[in-house]
Amino acid sequence: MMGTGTLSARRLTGWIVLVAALLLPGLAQALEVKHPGVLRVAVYKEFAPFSDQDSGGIDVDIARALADKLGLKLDLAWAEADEKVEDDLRNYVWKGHYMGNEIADLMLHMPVDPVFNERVKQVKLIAPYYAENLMVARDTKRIPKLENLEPFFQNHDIGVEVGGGSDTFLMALYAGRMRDHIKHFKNHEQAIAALRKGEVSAVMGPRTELEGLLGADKSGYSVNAIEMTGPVLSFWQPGVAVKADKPQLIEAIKQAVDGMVASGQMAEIFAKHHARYNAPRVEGAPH
Amino acid sequence: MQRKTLSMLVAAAFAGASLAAVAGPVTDEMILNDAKSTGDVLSFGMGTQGQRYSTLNKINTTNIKKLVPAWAFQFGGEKQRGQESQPLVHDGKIFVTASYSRMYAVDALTGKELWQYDHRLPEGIMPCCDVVNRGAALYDNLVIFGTLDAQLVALDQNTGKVVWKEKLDEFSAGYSYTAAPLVVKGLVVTGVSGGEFGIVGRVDARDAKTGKLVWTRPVVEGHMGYLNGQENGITGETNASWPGDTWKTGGSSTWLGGTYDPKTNLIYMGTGNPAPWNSHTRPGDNLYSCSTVAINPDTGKIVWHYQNTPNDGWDFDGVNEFVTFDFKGKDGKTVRAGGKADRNGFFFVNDATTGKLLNAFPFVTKHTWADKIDLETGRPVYNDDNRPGNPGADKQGKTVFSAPSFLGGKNQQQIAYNPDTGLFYVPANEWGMDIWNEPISYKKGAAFLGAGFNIKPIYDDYIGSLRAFDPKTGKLAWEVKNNAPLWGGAMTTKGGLVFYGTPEGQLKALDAKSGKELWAFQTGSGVVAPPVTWEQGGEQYIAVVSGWGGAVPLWGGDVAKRVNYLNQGGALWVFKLAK
Repeated sequence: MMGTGTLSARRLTGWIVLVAALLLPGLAQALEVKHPGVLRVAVYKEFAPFSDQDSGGIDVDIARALADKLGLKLDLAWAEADEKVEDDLRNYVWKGHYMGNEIADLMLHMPVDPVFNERVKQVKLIAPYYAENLMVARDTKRIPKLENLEPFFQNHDIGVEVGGGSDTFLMALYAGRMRDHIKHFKNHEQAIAALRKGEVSAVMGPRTELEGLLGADKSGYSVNAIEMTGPVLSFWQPGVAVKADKPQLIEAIKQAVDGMVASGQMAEIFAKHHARYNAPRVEGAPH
Repeated sequence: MQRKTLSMLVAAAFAGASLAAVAGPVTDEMILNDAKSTGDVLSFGMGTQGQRYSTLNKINTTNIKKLVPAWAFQFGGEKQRGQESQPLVHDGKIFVTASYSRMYAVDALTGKELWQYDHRLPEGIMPCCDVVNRGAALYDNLVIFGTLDAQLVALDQNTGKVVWKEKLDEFSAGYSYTAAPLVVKGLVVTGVSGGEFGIVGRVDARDAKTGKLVWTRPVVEGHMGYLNGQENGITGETNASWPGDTWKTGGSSTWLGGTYDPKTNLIYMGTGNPAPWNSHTRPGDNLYSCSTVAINPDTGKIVWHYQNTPNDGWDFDGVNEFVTFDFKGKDGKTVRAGGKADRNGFFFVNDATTGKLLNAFPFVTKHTWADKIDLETGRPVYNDDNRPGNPGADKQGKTVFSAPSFLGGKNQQQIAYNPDTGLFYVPANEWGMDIWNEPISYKKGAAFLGAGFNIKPIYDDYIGSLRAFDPKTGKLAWEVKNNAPLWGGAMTTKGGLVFYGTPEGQLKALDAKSGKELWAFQTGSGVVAPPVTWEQGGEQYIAVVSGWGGAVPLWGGDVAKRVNYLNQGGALWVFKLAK
């Protein structure tokens, strides 16, 4: 029949394109990114040392590295933190906010926690890239040794981020006996600034935040764990949120993050921002 | 001779018109007379007392059946969502705000658009609770309204051009503005809205002609107020009712605006819930959260306060309007009082001069958190078992069923008071919530202790109910039930009528004495705004904005099923009697 050859050639071309799409992660089709050639990554606004619009940070560097590995151009979406992470996932990953923002392909710093993921089934929480702990940063001249929270019953003030896990933990501790010595700050950045100025003797918060915010020169300060009881989670593992119906993007991100952890690239990023690196343990936080 | 008669007639006609409406710049006297002047609507609440009562009776119980649409005006635009605005009427123009911080001026007789102002909202703005605006204020040649990015904008009434613009606060810190401003003695008075953590509620007064800040009064104890740039005394007594430094981030946002009574010379402002939500971390009353605060407009100082929900643990914002009226007590004496249907499900009557509690009664059938309000102590009699558990101390804890839900026995939908019937008309809702501690919660990527909740209707056949109460006896005179939750305000008239809208789209007129439904009109989208009335050219008009939205559709749970079929919209409807 006339044109059979042409048809076969077309069919062949089609196969080549399809196979190429499956093999080459750089093709938007295969990666299920919203815009061809672009990886849109949501990171929190005003969130040093992870993501600051002016100075960048750990999450910004990770976003860039992921885009590079996938052969895509990075487009950062600066996210406004809502009341809970569920809201952020809705606003930036699976639905969008009613003001009409564009959702992202990924969101960083999302807790990889299977129990939590059950509540937001529209997304998959994958690829934990480090392990986070609640710790106490202190001025070692004022409090040379910190074995328990006794200093904060009498002589010393401790700063927390208002409404955060440390706030609830400390305010509830020993039927509220520490309350007068707990100083509330809008964020950890302000709390660490108060520590540096000597307004508080210590700050409790996520370790990486405390270390990163203390910066390169930590002399005179120490960041340590304390024993924690009660229902506040003191350990969790930030990772990546992807819309659940994007299996290939999910797989590509898992591989890319695993690669960064294994090669030491992840640890380098943390070191660059003055924080120790704690590799993730297993996928998902223990409860 | 004939000519003389004609000119006399013309003069008489003008005199008649000027009684009804005064043209030209809006003055303080005109605003204070707004409840009595029938030719205009110059303030939110149809008078600064917020009674939403009109002395007009041209439309009344006998002829209401002839009420028909005169015209409708569409807001248009790609975006709609909740329309909670109360229109203002002056000089033959209607000024109405719309979702996404828009404002329109429309010819009151014809519905023709005169101008439109679209406020340019910044990139990345994320208001918490829909994109509503509740209306504007008029002063001089200005029409003033607040925007979602927390600005106060004054436009020229004739041209819609910006005359001044002032920042109420930082939108990037979560501040917003959705209430209608209040004008008192040449000052434009506003609260603040938005911002869950780290904010402190306050009341600001600015020169209405220039926008220049005159005084600011925080509503959480410990914070300094300012008058003309000078320190003006601390609110309350630092640390008296908040542990540690929790007062510094005490919440209590004043997001619903206020009322003013010239007889007491006091501004009445409702305050929101204290922060953080977990009441166990802030033992004490947490003043002045969940309260009515009465502020002298001349001094910017709090004269009295009354706290509706001390140490709130249910998110019972006390922002609801305090509507002043003449209250004849059981002793037969008449005192100036204020009525407030609080989010916590109780109706409070306080002396408007002193704040003393005169009466309190439930206006919803279920109030699990408190059995009653003790009239002697002025405090709720708590049901301690119903306080949500301490997430810092208990693991999962028990699930508590609490009523009203955090959306309140009443929310933003305004009450009305009719001095002829002596009744308050309350758009109430019957719903509760399951609330539990959620130890596995995250905020900004970090673990914290949250709470989970699910709002549930209490009855199968209704959530909303328009209820008429006698403030003296607390007796329910009548009620009209509604399947969906009511979210629009009420209005009442000397014509013996009560008007209100429903999410199902109807504007209704009831007999103010009996509650009998006399008239209804389907506006095509849900009504979540209060109606107004005025007269022009000898005819009485009724207006209401239609456009479903607000906080209800944003909360899922079992309530969603009753409202998720409702369509959005955005229109101003105007009605008059058919000839």
